[in-house]
Amino acid sequence: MPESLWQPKSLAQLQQALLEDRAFLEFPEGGHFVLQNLQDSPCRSACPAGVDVKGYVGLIAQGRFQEALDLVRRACPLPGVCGRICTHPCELACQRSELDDAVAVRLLKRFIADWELAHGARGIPRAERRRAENVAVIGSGPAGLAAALDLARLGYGVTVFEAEASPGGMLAQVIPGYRLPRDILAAEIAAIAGAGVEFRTGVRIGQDLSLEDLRGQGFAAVVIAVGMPLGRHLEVQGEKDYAGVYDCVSFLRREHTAPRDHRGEKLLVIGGGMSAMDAARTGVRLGFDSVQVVYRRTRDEMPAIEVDVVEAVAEGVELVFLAGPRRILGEDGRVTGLECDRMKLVAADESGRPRPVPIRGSDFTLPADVIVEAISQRSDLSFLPRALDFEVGAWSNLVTDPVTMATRVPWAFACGDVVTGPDTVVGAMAQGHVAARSVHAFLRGQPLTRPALAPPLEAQVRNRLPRKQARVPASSLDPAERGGFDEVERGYDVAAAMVEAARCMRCGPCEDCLVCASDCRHRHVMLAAPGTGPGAAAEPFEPVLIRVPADREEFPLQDAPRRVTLRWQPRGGRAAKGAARDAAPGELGLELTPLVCAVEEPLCRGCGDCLLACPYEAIRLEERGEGRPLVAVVQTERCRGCGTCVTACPTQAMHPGWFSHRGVLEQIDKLLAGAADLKAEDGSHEPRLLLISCNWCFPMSEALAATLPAGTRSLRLLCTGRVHPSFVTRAFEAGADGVFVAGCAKGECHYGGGNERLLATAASLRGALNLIGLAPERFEARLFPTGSAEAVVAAVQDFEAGLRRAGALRLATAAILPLEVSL
Amino acid sequence: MKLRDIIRETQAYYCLDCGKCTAVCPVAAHSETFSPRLTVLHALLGHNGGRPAGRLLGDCLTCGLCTEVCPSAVRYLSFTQMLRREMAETGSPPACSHGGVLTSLMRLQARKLEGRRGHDWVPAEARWAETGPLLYFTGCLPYYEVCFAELGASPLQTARDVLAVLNGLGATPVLLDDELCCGHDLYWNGDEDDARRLAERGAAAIAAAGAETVVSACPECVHALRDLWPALGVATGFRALHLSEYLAERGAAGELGLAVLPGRATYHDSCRLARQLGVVEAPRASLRTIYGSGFREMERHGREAVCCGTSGWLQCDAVSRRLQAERLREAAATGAATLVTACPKCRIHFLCAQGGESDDEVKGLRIRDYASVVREAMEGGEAFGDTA
Repeated sequence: MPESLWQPKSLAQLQQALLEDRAFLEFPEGGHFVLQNLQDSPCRSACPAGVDVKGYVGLIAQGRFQEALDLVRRACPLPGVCGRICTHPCELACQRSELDDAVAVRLLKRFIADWELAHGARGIPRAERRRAENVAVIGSGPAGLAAALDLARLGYGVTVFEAEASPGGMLAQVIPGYRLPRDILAAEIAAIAGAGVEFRTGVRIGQDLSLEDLRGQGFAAVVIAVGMPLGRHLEVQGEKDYAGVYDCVSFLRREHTAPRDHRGEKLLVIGGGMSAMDAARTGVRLGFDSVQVVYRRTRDEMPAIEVDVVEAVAEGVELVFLAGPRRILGEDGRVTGLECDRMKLVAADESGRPRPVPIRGSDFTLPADVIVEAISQRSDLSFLPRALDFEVGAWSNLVTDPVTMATRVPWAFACGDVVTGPDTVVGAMAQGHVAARSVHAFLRGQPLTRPALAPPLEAQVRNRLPRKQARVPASSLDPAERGGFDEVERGYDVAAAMVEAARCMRCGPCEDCLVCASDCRHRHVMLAAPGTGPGAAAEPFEPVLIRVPADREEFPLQDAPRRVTLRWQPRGGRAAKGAARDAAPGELGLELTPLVCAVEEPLCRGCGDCLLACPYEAIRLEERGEGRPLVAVVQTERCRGCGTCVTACPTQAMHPGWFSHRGVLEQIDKLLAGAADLKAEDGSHEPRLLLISCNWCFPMSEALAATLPAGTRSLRLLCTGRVHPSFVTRAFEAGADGVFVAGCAKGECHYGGGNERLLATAASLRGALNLIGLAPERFEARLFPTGSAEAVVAAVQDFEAGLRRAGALRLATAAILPLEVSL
Repeated sequence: MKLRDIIRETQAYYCLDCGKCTAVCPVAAHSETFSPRLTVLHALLGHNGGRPAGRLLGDCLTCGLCTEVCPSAVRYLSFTQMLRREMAETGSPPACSHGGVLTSLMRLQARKLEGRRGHDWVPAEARWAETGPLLYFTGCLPYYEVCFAELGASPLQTARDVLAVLNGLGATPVLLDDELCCGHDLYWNGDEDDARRLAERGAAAIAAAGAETVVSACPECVHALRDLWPALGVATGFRALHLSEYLAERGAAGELGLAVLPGRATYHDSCRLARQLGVVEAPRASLRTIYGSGFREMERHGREAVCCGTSGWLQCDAVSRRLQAERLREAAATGAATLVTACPKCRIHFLCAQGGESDDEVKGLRIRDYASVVREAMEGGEAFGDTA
């Protein structure tokens, strides 16, 4: 079938097509939409690989762990690895740290990865092979794995070549097991293999096969992700004269593959980075009598992340600062010690750190049996054929185009440490994504580009901070018990993970995480729109939602969606659009609904109630001429779509882009209709009860939710400030015996004062219900501290006991009057 | 009921297409889509299955101005009501404002079989009974007190004022402990089943109290009890009177010893009182006594008065707002400082609209219920702190 006849059959396919620029959305008034949210939350902006942090944390808070993991895997193929050893730049950007502690994002990612393993891993769905070309990836470290998975998902045949016996690169060879158990790594690589990536281990390119051989075997493109597997030396006197001096990579690789007994020996590690900490802490486990880390600067300048330093010290590692190695000493061919200069710090060098200079005549000696030089790494590029035009940089790095990761050889791309020098796992994965995208563009004959990165969120979106609530700590193995290579850090359990995830303040607008999708009962994706006019992609984007028409029947919505056209080309890419325009473009009508609230002007009487209710000051009143009432206008750039104004509007002139007033009433009818058989005629009454709760604050595990009374039907709203009195009266009309509303505690509302609005609504509603003689025990609205799902359940149980005492609410007819139409 | 039957029953086929109805229709004056004439025409021609499209059916205020001018005596209000009933039965009743909560509360009253409401609002000094010949039907006032607290209107004060006036006449009215909604709105919105449930239970409660005369300060309640309950097949053995009618009957002006109140005032006729019930003179009789030469008529008054902009809590919108603003300016143009209305709903709608107006004279209008004015005059014109 020619590609021009392609039609999206699912939301995922549509997203993929948009991502690949094979398709775009065209609006009647002009302008195109491409899939990119140009306003990321700070955590996502900070993540080099672009993991949707806010999205998966939100899903964890709701107990939707597999979905959370799926979301992580869109951008990170190694959640279990990153959940352990990622340097988590997202946490450094977390806005919650302004209030108390950053959300423990890394531990949360680790939790879902562990959870999947413990529950029979589902892994990554097998990618459909849709394209003829094969791609070879050399090296199976994080960069190679990320590129391989992306390419497999794009439909290519992908083979990863690994020189060592097992895949994983530095993760498998060098990272100590107490930080990264190898079964975790193996499971994640198995998941990537399960997605359709082929692994060939023990094949060293340059020895077993040459680069040209790969081309000859039908690999249309090659991704070079060989890393920097060799250690660097200090180049000091005595270094090559005595046994017992190692570079860090060799030391760790050797001790990992064949650990030896070092009891009675002294270890000196030179360097202050993460690999220095790995070497030192490994030394502790190998039985060294003493382990000292020698560093030229002070603790403040150490590149190693804090937790590694803390753990090293806890395990007995001694840190020697302001010590500059000068000469390695030895006797009888064996190392005996290190002669150092005492250093002092002077003004910063080009790395931004204070520069250490030796103090004259201050030299001292540290005794040692083994010295590990943990200073840096280098590559082994001997496999690159001289005939090809590769460029190797001063640090033995492979030079690429910084934007596209293209080498000078058209079919070869490179990523990871071999390009950047030693970097983090997440940094390597980020490069893998770029390389995969470029390979795809190369194979499709498109120009190599990288989409502009989303600028970080400028203004802080939240305008009120929630109550302080400290990060949930994760326990770790007692230092006294850390003899072997058992993993030191313990992850979260289900309850701890959900409570911690609920601390996320959800900065920024919707990010296509679909957290809300199951509650809204319809699926939508986040798109971003350029300004109007063709080719205006550089203009500011406004967030929008797009809904798949197939969802309409089951979950009808009455908000007025706009008609947009999805167009696609035989050969994708907007750059190629002019040439491809006349080939065989296809199109498909879609409905697009803004995330923002919108005013139906004929219904608006200009009362301004919405303006007062809006937590974001997103509404203003505009004049519409003499004798006409003012009209409320939503400032789309401020609106967050919470729907608070929808409840405040007396005339239903305000429509949210997603679930309307009528939509909620329909959900209520539906929820309660299913419980109709609960009311027994024989008097053994099982009360029907509607629980309306805040979407964010009461993550409830399945086990806990199962302890809710049997007649409970649950409706979650983004904000309980959205509760309209008619939701409650409708529930009674539909046959509920009671309605319980659980809001978050004062000061904890994501949308400002939604919980206070709930209390005001409840007070007046209670008055009205009292007038129709409805027993007070049939309606209750209460606030609970964030995360206290157990308290909510207990309160609902009490409430249900009251309903049992009150008996069934008897109605004259079971027929529910149809909902009103508002066209 | 088939559309053909509705047309026959309401004499719609008599329509001459003359357009007088549209000329006087207040909605048509502001809406680009609504026209009574066209609605009838579409029904006769069978367009769209004879049903008005979308919101048009809910746009009609059932104010009845059109039937005042129709030369062919087409019963347009019944035509609208019957079409709404048809649409409710087929699953698309017209939309309601306030999220539909007021209508929902009405339906709950109609269907819910348990519970009684109390009389917390009744002042200790008021005299009332559980049985007797005269009954005061409070209607929705206690609900409005809850739902429209933010307007500062204190709708329940109207009820207290009615009680004080009746007590002032020496009467001790019955207050029903389980008074239900009169069903007016549900009937006009097309939900006849629930309206009938309310009528049946309401009539039984009134009969049980032994009342021969039922007085209300709400024209809709009076209209429902007098006209709609029998139309729904519910027999009533009592007379239903608006407070103003009751006072006129009792020759109350003399009996109450009404004082003259200072300042100018004007009176807004509600649709139900002036046109459905034909009560135009009774409230004016008291107001002329109370305000003397200070009583002014608006340009459009009596049976020609224009609607307050919304009825039956059906969809309030920009047209409603324009009608209200227009009516308020008309009242202010008489030079009156007080706008009296004998309908609690009209008062709520005007108060709501007034809050958004910028004109000083409109903002300065004191919008009062007829019962409150009468009470103040009865008690000698002294200021009552909490009198609305």
